[in-house]
Amino acid sequence: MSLLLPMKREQFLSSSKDLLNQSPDLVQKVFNHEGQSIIVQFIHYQVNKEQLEDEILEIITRSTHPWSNEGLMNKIPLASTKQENKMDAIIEQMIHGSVCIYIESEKEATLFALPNQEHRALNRAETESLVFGPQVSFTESLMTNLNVIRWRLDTSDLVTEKLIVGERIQSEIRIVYLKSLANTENVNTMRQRIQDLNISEVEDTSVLGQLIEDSSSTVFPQLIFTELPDRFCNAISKGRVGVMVDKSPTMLLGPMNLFSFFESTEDLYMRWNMGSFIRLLRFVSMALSIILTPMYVAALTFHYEIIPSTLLVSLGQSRSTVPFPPVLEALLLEILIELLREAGARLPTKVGQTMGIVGGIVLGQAAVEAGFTSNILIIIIALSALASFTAPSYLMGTAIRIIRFPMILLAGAWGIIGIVFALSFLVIHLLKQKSLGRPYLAPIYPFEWSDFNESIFRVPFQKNAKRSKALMTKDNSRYSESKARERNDVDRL
Amino acid sequence: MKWSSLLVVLFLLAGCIPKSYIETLGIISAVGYDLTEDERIRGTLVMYQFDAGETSTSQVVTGEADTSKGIRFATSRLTSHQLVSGQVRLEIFENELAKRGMMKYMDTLQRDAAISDMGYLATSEVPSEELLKSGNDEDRPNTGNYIQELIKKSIKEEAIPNAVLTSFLHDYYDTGKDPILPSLTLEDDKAVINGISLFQDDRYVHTTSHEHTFYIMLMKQEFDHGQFQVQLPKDALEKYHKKESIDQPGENALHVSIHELNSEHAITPSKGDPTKQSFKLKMEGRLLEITQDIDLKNEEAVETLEKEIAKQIKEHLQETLQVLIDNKVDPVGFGAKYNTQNRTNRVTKENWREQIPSLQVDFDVSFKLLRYGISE
Repeated sequence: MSLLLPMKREQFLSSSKDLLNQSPDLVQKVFNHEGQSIIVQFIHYQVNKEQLEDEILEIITRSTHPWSNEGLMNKIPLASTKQENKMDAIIEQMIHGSVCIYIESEKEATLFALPNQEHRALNRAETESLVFGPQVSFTESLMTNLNVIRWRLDTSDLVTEKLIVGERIQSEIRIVYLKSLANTENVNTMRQRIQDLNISEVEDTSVLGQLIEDSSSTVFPQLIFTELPDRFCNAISKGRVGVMVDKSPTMLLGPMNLFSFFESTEDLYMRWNMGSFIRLLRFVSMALSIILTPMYVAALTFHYEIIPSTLLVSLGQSRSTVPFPPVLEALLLEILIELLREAGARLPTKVGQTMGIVGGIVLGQAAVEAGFTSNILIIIIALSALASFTAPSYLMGTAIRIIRFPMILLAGAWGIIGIVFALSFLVIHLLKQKSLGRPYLAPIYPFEWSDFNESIFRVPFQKNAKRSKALMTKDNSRYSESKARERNDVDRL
Repeated sequence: MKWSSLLVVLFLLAGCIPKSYIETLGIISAVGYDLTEDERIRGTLVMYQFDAGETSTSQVVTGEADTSKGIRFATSRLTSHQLVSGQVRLEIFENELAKRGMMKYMDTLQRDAAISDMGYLATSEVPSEELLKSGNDEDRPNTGNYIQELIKKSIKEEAIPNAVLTSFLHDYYDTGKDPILPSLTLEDDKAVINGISLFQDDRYVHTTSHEHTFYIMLMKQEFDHGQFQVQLPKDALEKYHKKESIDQPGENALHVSIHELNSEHAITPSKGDPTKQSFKLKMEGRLLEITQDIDLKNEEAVETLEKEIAKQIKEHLQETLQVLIDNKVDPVGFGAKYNTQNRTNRVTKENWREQIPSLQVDFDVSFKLLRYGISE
C-alpha cells in the first residue's frame, strides 16, 4: 500500500529516506517562512545543480508571499512540472532526475524535471566502419540518438512510438517508422512482440533482438543491428521498422532478408557500378568462404580425380609431410584462425596488432615448416577467413564462419556428397526462416525479379523507381519513371 | 529421438566410403600397353606419388599381365602406394598390340567410372615402355605429362585430329566411319608425333606420313585457325614476279605458307551409290610466307596464286584419299555421310569395308587469300 500525501514534515522526510533505502545521495533541505515549512529534496548527481540553484532555490528563498503549489508552478520557469500525491511515484521521478518540492501538509508535491545525464559525445563508428560516407555512430543516450534521427529524417511523418519494457529494471523503447510508408502489419508485429515481453529486464538492443526474433535456434540473424545512423535512417526511409533501446548504442531493424546483411550504405554512396561490383564480391566471398575449405578436405580425402592435373603435384607435395588426415588438418587451422580472431578482439588494440603478426606470420610459417599443415591449406583458410570478414554485418560474418565447421566435418565423412548434403540442408533451413513473419530468402524465394535491383545488384538510381516489393510498403514508387526519362537541361540542343 | 537415430545411422554408414588420402595414392597419369613375345600385355604406368622429403614426384613402373586391369595388380607389388586410375589422362598402345584390336582395352576404359572419358589416346611405333621412360620431357613432372601436353597442344593448334577417348569410340561405333589416332615415336630420346595411325574398326593398319595428316584432317573436320604449307610448281607465277627483284625469278622452289586457315566443307553422296561422292571445300587463309618475290598488289597475281593453291590441294587430297583406299579405311566417314542422306542400299559395317576400294570422290576446292600483309 503506497503512502499518500498529505503528511507531516518529519514523516515526509523519513518516508522518503526509507523508500530510497537510506541512500546517502538523497539531499533534503527544509526552508521555513512565516510558519510554513517547505521541503526540497533530490538525488544530488541526478539533477542539474546550476539550474536547481538559479531557477528553483533562488525563487523559493526570495519569495515573500505564502507558498502554495500554484504559486510555485507559476513562478518557477521550468516546462516539465508534475504534481503527485503518491510517495512511490515521487521517488520514481526523483530517480529519473526530478526535484521534489513539498509544502508541508499540502495534498500534492510538485516535481520539476532537471535531469543531469552523463553520456559520451557522438563518435566515429567502430564496428561498422565506412571508408566513404558519414562517420558518426549512435551513442548510449536515447535522447541523443533520437535527436540524430530527427535531424536526418526531418519530417512529421516519422513516428517514434514509446514503449516501456522490463518488470524490475525498466527500459524505454522506441519503435521508429515512417507512417505513410511502413507496412502496418510489420509495425504491429514489431510492437506486439515487444509488448508481449514479460521479462525482468532488457540489457541491450541485441538482447531485445534475440527475444523478439522469429527463430532462436538458427545461427543466422534475422534482424539487423547497426550502430550507424545513416544505415538506420536509410532502412527507415525504405519502409522498414526500427527499434531503439535506451542505454544501447545499437539499433535494430526489420524485416530483413538474407541479402540485406550484405548491403552496406557505402554501396549507395559509391557509383552504381562500383557499388554493384563490391556487393557481388561480398556474395562471391560468402560462397567461397563456405565452400573452399570443405572442398579441399573432400578432394584430398575422397576425390583425387577432380584435382586439376596441374595442381596435383603441388597439392600432393605439400600434403606428403602432414601427419593428419585432411579433416583434422583443416579443423586445426580453422580453430587457429578463430583463436587469433578471438584473442585479437579481447586484447587492447595495441597488443591486438602484435597478435595478428604473431599469429599470422609466425604460427602460419612455422606450422608449414614443421610439416604440421600444407601451405596450400593455409592459403585456403586465410582466404576463407578473409572472405567471411567482408560481410558488413558482424553477426552474419560470424554465422558464416560457424557453419563452415559442420561442412568441414561432413566433407571429411562423406566427401562431396557430404558438402551437397550440407548445402541442401542450408538452403532448406534458409527457406524456412522468417524475419518479422516475412520470407528470409526473398527475392529468391518467393521469386521477385524487380527486387533484385536493390537486394542483389545496385542499379543506378535513375532506374530504381520502384520500392522493394518484399517490404510491402504503402507507397510503391519512389518517383515517376516516365518523368525521370525526360531531360530538362537548359542548354539542351 | 527419430532425428538423432537417423544421424547416427548416417554417420555409421559413412564408414563404408573408402578414404583415399592423396599422399597414400600412386596416382596413375599415363599408361602404355605393349605386346610381349609370349603374347601377354606389358603395361607401363607413369604415376605421381608423394613421399615426404622426396623431391621427385613421379615414378614409372612396369608389369606384365593378361588383362589391362591385371597390370595394376602386377605393378602394385612394386610400390607402397595404392594405385588408382582416376587421373589417367593418356593411354598409349604399341602398334603391334593395336593391330589385334583395341576394343577390349577401350571397353574397360569406357566402363570404369574413375577414368576420364576425355583422356587422350595414341599409338606408338616403338614400345610404349621406351616412350614413357625416355629422358627428355622438357622439365615436365614426367614424360607422360609431357606427351599429354604435346597432344593437347597439337589438337588445339589443329595440327592433329581430336584424340580423346570419346571421339575414338564415337568414330568406332559410327557405321561407315573409322577412328584415327596420333602416332608417336622416339627421336633422340624424345617422344614426338610422327603422323596419324589409321584403323579398320579397332585394328591398327597403317601410319600415314606427316604430310597426309593435314589432308586427312581437311576432309575429316573444318579448320578454324590452322596452318599449312604447300609447294607450287616453280614457274606457276612467273608472270607476276617483281621486276626489280634481286632474286633470279623462278630460281627457288615456290613454297607458300598459310595460316589462320578457315575451312568449310560439304560432302554430297550420290543417290543410291555410296562409292560415288563429291566433296566441296571452301578455304580461307592468310598468306604468311611465299618463297618467290611476287607482286601481290596485282589482283591477277593473287587470283592466280589462289587458283594454284586450290589446284595443289586438290591433287594432294586425291593422293591422300588413295592412301586411305589402299588401306581400306574411311576415317572421313564417307559411308556414314551416305547413310544420313539415303535410305536405300544402306552401308553396313561389313559391306562398307568391301566397297571402300571402289570409292570415288570428286573434289571441288576453292581457296581465298584474306590478307597478305603490307606490300609496300
